[in-house]
Amino acid sequence: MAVSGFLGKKNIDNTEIKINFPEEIYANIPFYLNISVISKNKFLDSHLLNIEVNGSVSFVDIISANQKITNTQKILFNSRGIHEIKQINIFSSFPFNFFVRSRKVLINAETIVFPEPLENENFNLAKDNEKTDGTSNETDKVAEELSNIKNYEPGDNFRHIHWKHYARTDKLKTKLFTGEISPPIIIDIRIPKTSPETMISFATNEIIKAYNKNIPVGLITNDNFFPPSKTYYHKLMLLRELALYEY
Amino acid sequence: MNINKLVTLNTLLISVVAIIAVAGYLNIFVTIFFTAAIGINIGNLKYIELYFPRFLINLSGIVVIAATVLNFEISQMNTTLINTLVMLISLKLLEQKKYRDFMQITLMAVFILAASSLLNLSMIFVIYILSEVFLIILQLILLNVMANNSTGRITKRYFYKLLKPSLIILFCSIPAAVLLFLILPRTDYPMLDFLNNQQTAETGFSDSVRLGSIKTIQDNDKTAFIAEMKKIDSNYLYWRGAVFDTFQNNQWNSRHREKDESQISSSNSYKNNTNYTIYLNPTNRKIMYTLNIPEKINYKKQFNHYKNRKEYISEKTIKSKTSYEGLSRLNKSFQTEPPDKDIYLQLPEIGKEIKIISKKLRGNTLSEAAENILHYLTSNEFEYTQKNLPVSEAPLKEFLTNLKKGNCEYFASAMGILLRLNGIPARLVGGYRGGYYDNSGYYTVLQSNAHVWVEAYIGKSWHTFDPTPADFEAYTDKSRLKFMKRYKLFFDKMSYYWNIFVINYDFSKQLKGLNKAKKIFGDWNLNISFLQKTIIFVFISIAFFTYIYTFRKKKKTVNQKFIDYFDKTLAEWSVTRSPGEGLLASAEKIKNKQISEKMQTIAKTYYNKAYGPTNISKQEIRLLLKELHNIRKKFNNT
Repeated sequence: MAVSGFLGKKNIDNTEIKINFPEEIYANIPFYLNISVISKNKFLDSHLLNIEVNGSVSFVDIISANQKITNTQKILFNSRGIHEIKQINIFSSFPFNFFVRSRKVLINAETIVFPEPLENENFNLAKDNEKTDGTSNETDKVAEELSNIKNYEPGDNFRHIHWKHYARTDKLKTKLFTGEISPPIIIDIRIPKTSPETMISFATNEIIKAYNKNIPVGLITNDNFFPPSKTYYHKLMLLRELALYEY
Repeated sequence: MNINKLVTLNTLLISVVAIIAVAGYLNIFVTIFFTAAIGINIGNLKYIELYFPRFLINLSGIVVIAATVLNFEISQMNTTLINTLVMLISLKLLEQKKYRDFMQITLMAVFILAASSLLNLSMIFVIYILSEVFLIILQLILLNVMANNSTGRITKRYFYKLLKPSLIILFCSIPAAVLLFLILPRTDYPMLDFLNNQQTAETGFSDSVRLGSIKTIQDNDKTAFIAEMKKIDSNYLYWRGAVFDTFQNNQWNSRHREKDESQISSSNSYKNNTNYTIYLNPTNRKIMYTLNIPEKINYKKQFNHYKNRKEYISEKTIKSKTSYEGLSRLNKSFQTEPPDKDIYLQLPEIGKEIKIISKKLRGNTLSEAAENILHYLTSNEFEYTQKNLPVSEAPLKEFLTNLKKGNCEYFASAMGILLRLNGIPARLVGGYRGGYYDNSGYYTVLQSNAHVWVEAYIGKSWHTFDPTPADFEAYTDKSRLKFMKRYKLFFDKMSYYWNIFVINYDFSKQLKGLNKAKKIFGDWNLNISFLQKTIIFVFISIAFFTYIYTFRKKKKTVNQKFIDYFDKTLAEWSVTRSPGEGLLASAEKIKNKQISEKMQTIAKTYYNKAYGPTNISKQEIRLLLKELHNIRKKFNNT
């Protein structure tokens, strides 16, 4: 019994846990948290580990000595703002199924949870190109009028590369079309159409939609004005503002 | 690998090991039933799918238990219980097994093995217990994996990885078990002896020896006892057992033991004293064996010592391995009071032929007569043999006049009778001759060393005569043993240590060990000076605090460092951040507006950087920490 107790302790001791949040977490939408468990034991493997984060448990059958294993775990936060995961519980019934040993691992990880996106037809700002999805849009755009040519940047659509120009000059250029430049949207959440919280959720939905459709989007809040832009960083900045917004 | 099948296979192994340990005690029906159950299970692993319904198994279980209760006999208790357990295990094996069924079978196997230890606690038990413990540990781990594993399959590699902790537990348990064995309190009273009432065959000498019966002792291949002592001249290796005083109907008996004074002699200091310890295997008889000529023995149970006969008889039958210490004088004669002539000159009806022989051997003195008889019997006229012994109605006459071949009891009987016919008080002594010396310091005496010799009272003492012309080198020289017996000696060596260290370990030895440890520890303490003690104390303290410090100072990430420092700063303005609360919200709680705003900006900068597109760098954190530090400084100044 003593030996099994000792082994049970060694089994969960000397394990380090690292968690990795995904970039976008929305309230009330489950997401997958990456949990890395690293065994720091030099000789003993860790067996039959249950890892509990915020009430949800995932199972790891073995981590060999000095190895790392990454598990994903479904987690849900139900409000926007800053959320913390202060501790993770590891527990295991190894070696015998008589007792369960557990250990708290303090990690103090924080993340910003974006507001829950809510669909609202009256609030539908990014209405253009509603009928078709993004991929078929692209083929449509090729038929549209060429408006400009710019230097190629990594990430530009291959279809828009000016191949003729490349053949002539060996330089990559990207064609720009008139249809691509959609009119920017600016969302003002100060206008209280509904409750502020729902408003924030609608705004979140619109920002995501606009970004997906490549429409520049801006935001006006009580304190700040964010001019429209299409970049991913801009999107995150707007969502963060909404996540931390206080009215 | 299918984990369920793996567990089943392991369960079969566990059952088989337990049952092998008690195989000798099993009823034939139980053995057949168990074998069949194992067979069906092996079939179930691969070819067939045959499980018996649970109600049928339960019903059979009740029948088995009822049968046990009805047939219960206290003298057969242990064997009955073992047979019952084996029946129950076999029944359990026949049903479709789940987690708890596997556990139950494992537990029953443990019971069987424990019961086997009551029947026979020999060296081989160590092998059973080690293999069983390993299998059980593996079983428990596998069952645990089975309970946790939803797929029902594991890889081979994973299985091998499970062997590692099983072996670790096994090898760590051994020293732990040894430690417990050494220190656990124990009683002097054998509590579980009543379970061991089983009748086993009697071995060694009884109170009578019939002509030709020593051969049955000699044919036994087992070890009679082990004697721990220094090596002595093999001419003195006579192990004294019973003394026979009356010859009647071709049989020597111990009839008049009770007429002898029974007392414990005080230790006399003689020359050639030899100390030894005997580890006697159970004989189911009362006779104890000593090195000729015994002066005293030290035995923790009750026994009688017959002073003039030099016999030691245990009060109770010797049913388990026993040990006692003895002190003997290596000599061929010993003084006693004059013996009762009615007893030691008693003669049965004897034919003329023997009387004629005895007349021929008469000498001028008693000792001359004795020498003549000895010479006569050890001459080339007689031959030592263990085959075709004379077994007619008058075997002694047949031996002396016709066949002239026989083994020790014929020679000894003949000498005893011839001495008595010549008016010399004589008796036979049954015991063992020789022994195989092991350089670890003990003699192994086998049952085949059984021997009978003669004592004659001449002058004021009993003299030892051995008329058997056998080649006694064969009874002391290991190299002349058959291979199987030599192989046996090896196991005897193992079991010698087993006896010394395990069977014979009792409360008094425990106390001795404790005292020894205390002494060593006490001496050690006295030998160190105050300065040394201080140094040791300081050293231990430093080691302790270093340990604590390194344990507490686990590596923090930079983010944690910042958050912790932020919390500390908050605490100075008597704000505590509740778990899950954001930094910004708690910074707002600070009553001092200026500080609150500053803290908020720091929190915001941190959030922007920490959750921005790039990870926050150590440099940036350091800047933030500096700002926090400034705020704290300001607080301390005001």
